[in-house]
Amino acid sequence: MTEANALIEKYKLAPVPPNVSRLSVLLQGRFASNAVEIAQIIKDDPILSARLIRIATNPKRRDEEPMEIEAAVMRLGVGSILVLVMGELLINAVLRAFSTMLGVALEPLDSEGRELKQFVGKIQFAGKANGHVFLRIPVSVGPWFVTHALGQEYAATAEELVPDVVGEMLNIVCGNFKSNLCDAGLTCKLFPPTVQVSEGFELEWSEEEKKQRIGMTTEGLPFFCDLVITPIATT
Amino acid sequence: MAKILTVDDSKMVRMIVGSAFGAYDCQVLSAENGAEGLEIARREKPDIIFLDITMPVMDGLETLGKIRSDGDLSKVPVVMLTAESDGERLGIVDKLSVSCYIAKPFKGEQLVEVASKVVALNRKSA
Repeated sequence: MTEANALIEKYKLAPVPPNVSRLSVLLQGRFASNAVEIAQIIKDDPILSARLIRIATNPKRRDEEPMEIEAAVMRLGVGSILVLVMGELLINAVLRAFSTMLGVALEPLDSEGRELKQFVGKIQFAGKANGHVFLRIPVSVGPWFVTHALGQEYAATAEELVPDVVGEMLNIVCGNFKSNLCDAGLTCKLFPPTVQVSEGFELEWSEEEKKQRIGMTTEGLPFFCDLVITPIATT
Repeated sequence: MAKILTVDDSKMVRMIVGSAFGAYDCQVLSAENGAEGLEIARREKPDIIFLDITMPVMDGLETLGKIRSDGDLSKVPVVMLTAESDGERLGIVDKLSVSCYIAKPFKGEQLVEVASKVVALNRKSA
């Protein structure tokens, strides 16, 4: 047992997600040119496989026969697959945060929610991995968000508490995500979050960066998370 | 009456800690950063401290180091309450001797369960 695993057991912490070891293996770069071997790593996880095929498939052809995983790997390339695996780690962190802190289960939502007036929480991470994570909560959902996190007794003051709750939820999500990156070998640190109200949100990203937009819903309410990351060179 | 100190820059977390112990006959003190937490700890001598790691002014690791080297506070049980739990971070915290490590996200009941192992918690009478 490694020292880290012994400490996880000692403090009864949640086990490290399997996608951390997938990311670690992919970062070693031994499979950079071998789509079959990369596909083998992805195939163990049906959720990851489904997202890979969905992203690799042209939206206009989604009704046609599903693409093979190997073909999807060849189409996207290892750089995009690294970001896909990181996106899965981020989604996992969001699902855990919402489930534990708010007591709700999120489902995928096919929307980017750019047009909404919303609270936008933003955190930068830097080191061997560099980028930003955004958590976006529509302004109209703010009081629901606060009362689910803190209880109905805070309904009267919910509006003023929204920025703090959005900031802390983003902190929790990014703290988990950053820990996963560090455990995969991408040592990095987080910067303090900022929370602003935005209308007509546009994600800022350069041509070199890769992005993932993740829409989620519960009780008919939309939530959004975005990952913008500088491509990582495999060794 | 038990004294519980929460040191976290998030108002949300400080409120959850306060609510978690609301049914018990205890005093919950709170601080927004390590420097403020250390000052309150030296003055109030809490029975247990819930400590975040990433905070402005003084972070949780520096605060924990100062608590452990303070003659009056060195034996106070400290529970780390943080979203960062990578292997390297766990190793650093473990060497500074903590009672428990709770990774956020968390539930208030977890705090009560951990505290009840080191502090006598009595429910408030109706």
